[in-house]
Amino acid sequence: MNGQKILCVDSDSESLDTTVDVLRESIEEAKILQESSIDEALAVLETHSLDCIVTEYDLADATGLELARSVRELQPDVSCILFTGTPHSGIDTESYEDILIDYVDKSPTDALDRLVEVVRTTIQAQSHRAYPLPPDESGRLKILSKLDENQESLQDAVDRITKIATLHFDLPVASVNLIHDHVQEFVVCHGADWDQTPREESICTYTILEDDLTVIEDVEEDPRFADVEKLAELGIRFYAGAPLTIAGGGAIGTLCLYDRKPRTFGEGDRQFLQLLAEDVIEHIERYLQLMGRESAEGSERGGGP
Amino acid sequence: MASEAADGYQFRPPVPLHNLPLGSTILVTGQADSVARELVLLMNFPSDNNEAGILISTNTDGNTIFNQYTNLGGEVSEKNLRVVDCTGKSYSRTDPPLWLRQLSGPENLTAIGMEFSSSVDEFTSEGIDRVRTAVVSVSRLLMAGKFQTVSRFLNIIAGRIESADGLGVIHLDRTVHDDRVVNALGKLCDGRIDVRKTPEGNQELRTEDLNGPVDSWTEISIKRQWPRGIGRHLISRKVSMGRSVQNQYSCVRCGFKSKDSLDLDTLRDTVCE
Repeated sequence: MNGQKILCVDSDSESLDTTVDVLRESIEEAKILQESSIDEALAVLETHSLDCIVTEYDLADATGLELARSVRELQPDVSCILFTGTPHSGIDTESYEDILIDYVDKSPTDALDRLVEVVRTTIQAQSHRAYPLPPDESGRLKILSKLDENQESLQDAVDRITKIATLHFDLPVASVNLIHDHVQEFVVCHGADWDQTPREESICTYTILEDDLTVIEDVEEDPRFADVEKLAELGIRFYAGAPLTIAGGGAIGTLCLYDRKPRTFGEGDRQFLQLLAEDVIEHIERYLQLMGRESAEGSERGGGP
Repeated sequence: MASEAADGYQFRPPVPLHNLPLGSTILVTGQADSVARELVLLMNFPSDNNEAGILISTNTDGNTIFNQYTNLGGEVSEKNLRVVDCTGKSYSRTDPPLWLRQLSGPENLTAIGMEFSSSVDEFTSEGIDRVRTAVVSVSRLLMAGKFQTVSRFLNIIAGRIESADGLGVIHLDRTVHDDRVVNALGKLCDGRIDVRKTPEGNQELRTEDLNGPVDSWTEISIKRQWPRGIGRHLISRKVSMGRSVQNQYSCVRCGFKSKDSLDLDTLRDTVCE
């Protein structure tokens, strides 16, 4: 649980201090932040990437559910836990039906022990995400940490492949994407000027779970994505994606094709997309080797007399 | 992922499963004419006084599902069962039994999640070590809410079950959902059981990613439960819906016809009440 960040929010300073002390003592590896109001908590969310937020329901300037709503907008993957003495039956959830928050009653004598257990498991299982994670998620992220999607030589190499893809398939957009911890980043996006996407709104989130290609001939007909406003905004009706699986590190991203209208995708199309994906993988692996060599040489130089 | 232990969850016949690891959540999918729903209820039976069951019912009112549970042989008391009725049905009784918790409707996943967490904690406070939780059925939740929200709900529930060393059993009516949805929800769980009715009329199950002895289609003898004799009045026919073909159900007694995506469990409770 190294480097995990947990934010505790409670307007009662004594109660806040107790919660923070217990969490610090029990989950030593994590960094525990504390705030006493929703405004201060939101300021933390603007500057820190959090893993978990533990909030009282009854805050001086808002409710814990209002805070949870902002958390879902700003950092949707964060685990939200209501740790409160207010009975759950007394909490009006009508305006927060799809926010989803865990609830731990603060009144029992063993409440803090229970909170620690819930926080620990929730962070470990990353259970507030709205999508499944690949089994080798940590290995994947380790490889990704060595890659810089803004590196020009990498961008130039894969840009050629996306150009070939749009010409070959007669499609408006093709891209190479990296699926980071919480967002999808574009290494290149040929034919559109798209920005990063939260992982829960990205089709590629599901593509990296499969060994094979993911083809969605009509996105509006796929119940997994029919409600995702972002995809409608971008005008994505057809999607074909190949996972970019790096030896020893799992699928770190995708090579994707998009169209603004539904279309079919035959066996020959699949084979060609797979070949292009293998080319992208080769470029990335070569780039990783180069980076590895440079960093080894760098440390050798740094370690010399 | 769930931790494996020698003393996992046990089941009594006719459930052919043994020693499911503490903290695991299983997706049970079935076609409309299978006994998947009955299997979920049977898997939720507490096996001794050290266990309790939470039954989150999204498409069948609390009293009806309680009766189905006891008809199948569930021995329940207020100490070992909570039925969370999420149908939004209003009861005329002013003093609902202690085992019954009523919520506003299947679209309020925040309320359902909080009620669930709170019920787990109540049982734990009462000294009960093992809590089995069933969701019957996640199909109704998918009809009421966005796929992403239901996925998050399921993930949170599975996380809480893991944290409490519980057992989660989630029912999904395979007839009304795209395979892509079924597979994606399956990936949020630790294992999956598929149930089907063969052309010969036998009921069979198949498990995936479970430690049990069953790995191919195996016959099971579980009796189907029909509330108030509705089942024998139902007929189904295939209807083209755009590109796909779906089952449409109608009741020969009252003439009620199902809507496109209504699941069979909802229909069982709608017709001829």
